[in-house]
Formats: sequence, structure tokens, C-alpha cells
Amino acid sequence: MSCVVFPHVSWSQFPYRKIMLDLRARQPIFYVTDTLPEWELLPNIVKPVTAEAVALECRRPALAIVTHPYWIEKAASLHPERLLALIPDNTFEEYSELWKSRLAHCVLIADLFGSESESLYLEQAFKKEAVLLLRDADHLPSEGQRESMQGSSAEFEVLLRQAVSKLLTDNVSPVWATALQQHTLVQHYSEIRKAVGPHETASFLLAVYEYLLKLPDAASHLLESFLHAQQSGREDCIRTHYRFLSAIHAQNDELREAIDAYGVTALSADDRLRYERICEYAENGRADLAAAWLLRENDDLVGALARLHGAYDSEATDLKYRWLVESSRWEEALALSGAAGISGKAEKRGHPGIRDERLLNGYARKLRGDRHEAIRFFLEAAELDQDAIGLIARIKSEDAAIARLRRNMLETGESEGLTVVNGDDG
Amino acid sequence: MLTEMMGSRSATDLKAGSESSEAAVARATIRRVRRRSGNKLTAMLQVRNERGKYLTQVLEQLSGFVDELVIVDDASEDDTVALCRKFPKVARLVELPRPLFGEEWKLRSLLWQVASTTEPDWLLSVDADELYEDRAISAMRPLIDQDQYDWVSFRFHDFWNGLTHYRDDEHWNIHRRQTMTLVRYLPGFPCLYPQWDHHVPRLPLAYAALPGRLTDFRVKHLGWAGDWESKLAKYHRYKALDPEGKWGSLAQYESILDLNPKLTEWTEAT
Repeated sequence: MSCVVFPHVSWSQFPYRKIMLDLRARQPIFYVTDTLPEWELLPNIVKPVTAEAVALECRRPALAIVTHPYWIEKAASLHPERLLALIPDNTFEEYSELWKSRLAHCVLIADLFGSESESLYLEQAFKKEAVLLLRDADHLPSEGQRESMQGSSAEFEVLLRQAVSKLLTDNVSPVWATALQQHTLVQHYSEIRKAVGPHETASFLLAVYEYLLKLPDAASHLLESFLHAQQSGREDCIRTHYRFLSAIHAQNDELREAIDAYGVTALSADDRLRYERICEYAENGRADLAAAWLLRENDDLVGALARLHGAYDSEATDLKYRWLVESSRWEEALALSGAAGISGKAEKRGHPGIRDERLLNGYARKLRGDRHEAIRFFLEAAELDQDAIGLIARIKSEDAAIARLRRNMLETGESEGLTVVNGDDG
Repeated sequence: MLTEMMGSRSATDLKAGSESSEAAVARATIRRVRRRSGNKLTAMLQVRNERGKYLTQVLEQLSGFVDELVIVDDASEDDTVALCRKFPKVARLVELPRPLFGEEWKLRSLLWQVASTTEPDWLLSVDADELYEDRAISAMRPLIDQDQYDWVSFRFHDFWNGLTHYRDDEHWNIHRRQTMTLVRYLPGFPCLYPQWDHHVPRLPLAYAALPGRLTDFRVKHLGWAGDWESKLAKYHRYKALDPEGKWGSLAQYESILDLNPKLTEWTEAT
């Protein structure tokens, strides 16, 4: 029962050391690194291993943890029983296109996604149910505070440990921890609102957490946030604040109000087209499609797909398929495609349909770290569309990115006086 | 890449699949929030003791281009209500038993609420001493029969000492700014007014967040066009209601009594 960590820094800087050491039942802990920490810094249950050797040392680990998105496919290739993505702030090449794309993959395949950034956390909370904010609600820790937190357990650490423990031992999804933490966050922003009065940011975040928990006051808090934003001169607040009201109404099955709220915010030509389509869905008795669209327009993919659960007509299936593909949920898209006969339709559509199927298969294989199969599918897709060759070239650029990450860890490690055991980037 | 490639794939034919329980609710026609034609325009006014002033002129003008009129009478002590009743387009007329002019935000809020019951597409907020120039009236339908913006503003002019000149100086220059008086009514959109006792904006603040159109169409404000006695009475009223200048400018109040104000002649636009 081993555990593998694919980190973004050397062990001495690793922010989740304490949590790792608490997972004693999952020893040994393989720590992927090109540096050898001084022995006194390395607990005896932690074993350094290079990225090249990890597959030999540790096949099918009980748990894999990535703290930088670039590692996600490497971690997936080990076929761990459970996978965690815990992403701290200020990681290497943060918010580059590749970072964002790999982060999306983390969200997709990890059993639990955690982030230190509240905005990143919230973004993912609309895409995935098992998410954790890797900091406590009542403060944004400075660097110094974060250090001190190594000594005393923060609330999120306790929650994370329990969530991981239940996941590994009892096979319990961490969604309970997500909800528990979100209730704490509701309480936190309620207290801020009580102290400072209705407030653009506090009221908005309160509304968001209430929405995630399906609590009843989300609409009123959102509206007060919108009014404050408007009075503060936020020019785009119709879209950034008011639009969210359409999701809240849709969640509450108040479809007419939801459509009206969205309509108010439909100011661009594209939005107007979407608004018209949503109205037509409702007028044609497809409240499920209208509500799903409204949720999707508010980035609530979880809610949107849930609305279409059990709807297998061509309209609903096409929408589900499209949204799954747009959100890189290749495996689910493939499963739906097979179950709903979209592949049959694809064949009839000719090359573009077949190409899409091959691309989907390639993406899905790559997501799980099955690079050879992925390349095979991309090559087959390239027979129909030369642009697909670019996907193979992209794999090389991803390898280069991992090499940069390892070099960065190496340089950081050297600056701390650690010993290099493998300088090969390869 | 696949997402980009799938750009052309869209759900178009609306075949009914499995209907949810919400379906029945939604089956009726959805009223679009913005319409390019057939918009209903409702004018809304608050009035008080308007006998001998401009109310007849104002209602006559409004009757010529709006679909309905909504009036809240702020406990008039003269025959203002009877005057209003003579105009067939008055769809709602609320008579307050006690005046609310000392808490103007309540009056504005009430007027908005009553006006919204007429199911308008657009609302025009008018005071009992305001007349729109002919160009503005001619443009009114094109201004509301569109789906690109949700409010329209005009240039108001404070007529002074009669109907030929407007005041144009440091304290009286509203014509240099835009005043929003015409808005698309959006059901469910926040319609709160600031809780001010005087000089309350005539439309809910939140509407300013929507896209609007600034125009050079002009509106004659005749509230100061009367004789010296009427201005003196208004001066005393403002000073009594707002002695510390909490809601308006004390300097502007004092300038009401200016014996030689700078006036500019009004010329009708062709």
C-alpha cells in the first residue's frame, strides 16, 4: 500500500508534509524528485524516486498526489487506486495555457481536487463535487503564517486528512468534506456581512456558497451584491453579478424568473441568440433543456448535467455530448456517444464525425497517461484531418514543460544545499 | 481542438422529448425582455396642488404619444385629481391621504410600483411641469422599439422668468448633462430608490447599469418659469425642507433669488 507524490517543490518546501506523514498506513511514500534531501530532513518512510524510476518502484499505488498540474498524466499512468490534486498558490508557470489545461485534467480525474486559491477553488466547485479549499476560511495566510501552520493543524488540514482517510479506508467520496467546509464558508461570509453590512464581495461570495449548498438566501445576497457593484461603478456588473441570478432561479425551479434574469444580461449578439434558444426550449415544453442551458451559461456544469440526467432524446443527448466535450470530459463523452448512438450518427456525417471519435479516444487515452494509444488515435485522426498532427507535437511541448518544472525544482533544491541525484531532464 | 472543430454542431430542431414537471409552467409564450416592436409606453407622474400650473399642458402632450398614464397624487388640496381624471389615458390614479413629499423616496417607489402594474414595456418618468420638445416626441417610438439599449436620457432646460429663455450659469446647467427619464421596464430587476428625503433620482438606480442611449433631445422644465412670487415660495420651501443642504446645494437654493440670472434664449429645433 504505497503512496506517490508528484510535487512542485523539494520535500523541505513541500506544504503538505504533515498530512503526508499522517498517512503512515500508506507507506512507503515515494517522493518524485531529482534531488536527494539531506538525510535528517527526510523521514524514513519517505523515499526519493526519480520520475523515470517511479513506474518501476511503484506500480498501482494506493494513492497518488500531484501538487503541480503538469504531473497529472504521469501520475495517471501509474493507475493509482486514488488520485488527489492539491494545488498550492504560486506554482511554477501558473496560469499558462498548459497549466490551465492540465489543471482541467486534474479536476477531471482526481478523486479530490484542492486549491489554496479561493477563486480557483470556486471555479472548480462548479465543475466537480469533491473539492476542498486548502486554507481556512478566516484568513488568507501570509508566507509566515503558512510556515507556522506546519506546526499546528489548520482546520482544512484536519478535514483533508479525514477526507483522504475515509476515501482510502472506507471508499467514501470526499463530498461530505466539501459540504462541511462550504457551510463553514457560508458562516464566515455571513459574519463578515454582519460586521460590515451588505458588501459587493462578501455578499457575492456568500451567495455563491449558498447556491452551492442550495440554501435559500442566495438570491437576496446576490442582489445586494449586484446593487453595491453597480453603485461602485462596476460597468460590467450586469454580466459579472446579475447574470448569476438566472442560475439561482433555475436551481430553484423558477424558470420564468431565471429566463427573465438571463434575458436582462443577454446584451451581446451571441447571448441574444442563446437567450432566444432558451426561450424556445421553454415554449416547446423543454423546461429541462432551458434550465440546463441557463446553468451552463453560468458555468455550473455539474448542475447543467444533473438537469439532463435521465433525458435521452436526441436534443438532450446532443447538448450533453457537446458540454462534455467542451469541458474535456472525454471519457464521459465517449461513453455517452456509445450509449446514445452518436458514433453511428458520426459515421453518417462522414469524416468530421469519425475524426471526432478518434480525437476523443486519443484525448481519453492521454488523460489516463496511455500515451502510445493516444498517439495511435491522433495519427488515425490525422488521416482525415492533418491538423491532428499538431496534437502529437503538443505532447513534446508538454514533456518540455515537465522538464522545465523539474529543472526549477532542482534549482530550488540546490539553492537549499540539497544533493543532486539525477540531473537528467529527459 | 475537438471543441473548436465541433463549433458548428448545434442543437436546432426542437423535438419534444421527455417532459419534466416544469414543462407545463414553461409551455406558455415567454415574454421577451426586449422587443423591437409593439412596445407599450407608460408615463408616470407624481403631482401635488397643480392647479394653475402646467399639468393640463403636460397631460395633453403625454396623451398624444404615450399609451397609458399613471399618476400618484400626493394629497393635493385643490382640484388636481379632478383635472387628472379628465384624461382618458390615465390608467391608474392613486390619491394619497397624507403627503409624502417629505420622504420623496417613498413617493417615487410607490409611483414605480403602481406603474409596473400596467405591464409596461417602457416607463417615462415625468414631472408635472415638464414638456418634451417635438423632436423628442417624434423620436419616441423609434427610441423604444429597439432591443439594443434599455434607457434613454435627455437634456433638460430650466426655463426662467417665462417660456422664452432658460437659465444657464454656474448653478443652473442641467442642460449640459444628461437626465435619464425613459427606461425599459424589466420585471424582477431591482427597483430600489435611495432612501433620500429630497432630490431622489426619478428612476431606480440599478437601471443605470444597463446599456443606455444619450440623446440631444430637449425637455422644457417649466418649474422656474413662473413669476417672482412663485420662485420665492419655492425658495422658502427648499430652505425649510433642507436647511443644511443635506439633499441639495445651499448655493443653488440662494441663487434662486438672483435678480440678474444669466439666461439663454430657447430656439425651437427644426
